[in-house]
Amino acid sequence: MTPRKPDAPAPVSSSVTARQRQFDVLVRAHANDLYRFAYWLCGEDARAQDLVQETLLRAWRALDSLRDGAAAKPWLLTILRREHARGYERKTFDLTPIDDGWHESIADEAAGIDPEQAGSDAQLREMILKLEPKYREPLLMQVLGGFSCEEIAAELGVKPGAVMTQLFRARHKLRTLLEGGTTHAEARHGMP
Amino acid sequence: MECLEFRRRLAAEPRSRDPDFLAHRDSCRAGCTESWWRAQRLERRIEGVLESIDPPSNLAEKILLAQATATRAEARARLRRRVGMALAASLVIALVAFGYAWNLRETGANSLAAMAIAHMNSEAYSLTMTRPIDDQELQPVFAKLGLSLASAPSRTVFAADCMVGPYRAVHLVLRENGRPVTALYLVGHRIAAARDFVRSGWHGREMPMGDGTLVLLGNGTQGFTAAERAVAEAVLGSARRALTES
Repeated sequence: MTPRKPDAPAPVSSSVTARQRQFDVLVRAHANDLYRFAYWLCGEDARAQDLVQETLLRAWRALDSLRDGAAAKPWLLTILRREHARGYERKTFDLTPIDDGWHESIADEAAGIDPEQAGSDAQLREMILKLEPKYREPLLMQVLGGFSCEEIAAELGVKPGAVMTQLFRARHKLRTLLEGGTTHAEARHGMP
Repeated sequence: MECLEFRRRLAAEPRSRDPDFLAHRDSCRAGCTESWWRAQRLERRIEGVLESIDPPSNLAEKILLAQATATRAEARARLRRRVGMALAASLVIALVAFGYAWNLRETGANSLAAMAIAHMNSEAYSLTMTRPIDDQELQPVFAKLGLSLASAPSRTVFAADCMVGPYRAVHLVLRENGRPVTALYLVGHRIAAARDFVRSGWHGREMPMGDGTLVLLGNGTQGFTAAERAVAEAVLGSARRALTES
């Protein structure tokens, strides 16, 4: 047996080391994505950092419940969303069907200006932050989180059709704002 | 898939890889392909903007440090809780053990009180004696146990050498104001401190005396002081006198 050097750290039990190693990997792999998601949810750097830290500390305590490493990201995003929801009173989603607006909106999409030419990235960023949470959150879950409509619906507790409506509206708003105009659909529905 | 359904899907899920969706994109001549390309360009811009946010430098390290700190704090709190619980449990165990020992000492079958009373149950007749006995009768009893009788206790009505539990003893009964007081002097077994007790209807007192222990029993404590003095004079008198003379 090799004697331990006096300044060597105390041995740690292998189970703790394995759990800690798993957590290290999780943090290094997902901290930045979580931060971006948190930033777009709340729009503040300090709050986003707090959210990420709280999320990962909760994840550390519940790490044993994570069975599938591939499911880590959606798991973490779910924790983060719930953590964020704790801080903000959530509004009920407006699930009004928009069937009547689809045709006009889709026509707008078809005839729209090329999105590559409209507005600057700074404008687009500002517009995303200005989106109401009920539009912004499903969009973030889809684009940053990689959730499908069905998964978003399950997370938010609504029907997939309602999620598609929210996603359609979110993109439509962004496109419209980039083009600097008001669509027929917005005019009809009084959308902001 | 029809154009309307395609456009609807395109607006909600522009990155969809659904085969029907992609088939319509590739086959439609009504502008769906162009819409798809436009939607992809918008999506690229949205993705680019969403992912353009730079996380703070060393975010992962900061979080790992916070986690390590929190873990240490939790471990310390857990340790404090465990130590507190262990101390509380030790205290409870100590109290129970002390109580048990105390109870055993007070009521146990091996206590002096219990042994003295058990002895009296087998020699109850001694309490009925009323005729005083003299030095000649007392001397051999003391001598048998290696004691020299310094002064015969007056009012002694019974004397015998007995075994009280494992201890050899001088068993005396004295009449104090007409009431019998039993005195058991245990030779060679000295207790640490005197105490009174009440047990099985008997009043008692045990006290260290010389190299042994005196146990007094009666139906009250009246006469205990006089009996104690008389036995002390008988057992210790010679030594006391010797000390006085020297």
